[in-house]
Amino acid sequence: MKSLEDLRKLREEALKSVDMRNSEKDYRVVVGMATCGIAAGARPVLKALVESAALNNYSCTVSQTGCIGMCVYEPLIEIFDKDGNETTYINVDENKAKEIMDSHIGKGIILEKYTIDSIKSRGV
Amino acid sequence: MESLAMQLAELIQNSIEARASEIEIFFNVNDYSNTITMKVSDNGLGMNDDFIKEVYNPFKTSRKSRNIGLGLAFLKQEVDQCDGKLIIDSKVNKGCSIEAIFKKDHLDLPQIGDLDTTIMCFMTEADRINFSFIYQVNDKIFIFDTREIKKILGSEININSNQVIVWIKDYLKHNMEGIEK
Repeated sequence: MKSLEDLRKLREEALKSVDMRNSEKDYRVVVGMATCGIAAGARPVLKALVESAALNNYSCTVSQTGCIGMCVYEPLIEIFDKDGNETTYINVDENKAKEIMDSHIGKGIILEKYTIDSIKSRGV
Repeated sequence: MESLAMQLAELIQNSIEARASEIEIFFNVNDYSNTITMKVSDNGLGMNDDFIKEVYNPFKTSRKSRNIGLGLAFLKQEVDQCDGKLIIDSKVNKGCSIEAIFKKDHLDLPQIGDLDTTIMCFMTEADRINFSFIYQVNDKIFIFDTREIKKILGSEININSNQVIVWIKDYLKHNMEGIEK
């Protein structure tokens, strides 16, 4: 999967499947990539999210944004569903990113233990 | 910052927040001149002269007018530590170019880090922003341009679909290692 020829093959394959076409995806995953995010490790997290989505054919787009305003909780990701419901996951690392993808995007189950609400409810 | 790749991510993020639609990234490792050069040029909002004067001051930064934050202050500090140079060239509404030159064998120079991951991360925005990445090690050069990728993909497949981004990462890694040899 390394040459431009492989990209052409990837394209041919993709045209046969519905998943990769430019259709509306079920989820939008957003990663904070300002100074705070980058310094805390947002790049490997974003990489893990994209790799997990590609491997499992999850219906989501991954994108990035600037500072979300909660720098202490970076790396931070927000997941929006089709209805605009938002879930914020905090202090994400590569392993948590994969877990979150498998549960939230794969099964539709919010992984409560990593959300911002879990902190609030513990009163930390 | 831990690595030059992180600093590079910072510069690219600045360009995105300046609403650039074209971003050119240049990374050069040169043993003859004993330098590492990192340059990001964009066609974004740019900065006026007053702003450039204050650009290294992390506390003067106005996040509302130009979202530059702490990034350049960190970069300036690192460049100074390594007997390097930082060159900023910008005009309002024309764009911005930031070039950092480091002394390659300086003891305080951070490691280069994971450049391909840095570039990969920004491919999520490659549907709306054109990126070119020029990577040069001494006399060998690798050029990556998202316009070329988009041309191959055609209109049916988005460049920022997850499978394509993973391919881009492998493609970058393979070609960058190729010229490092």
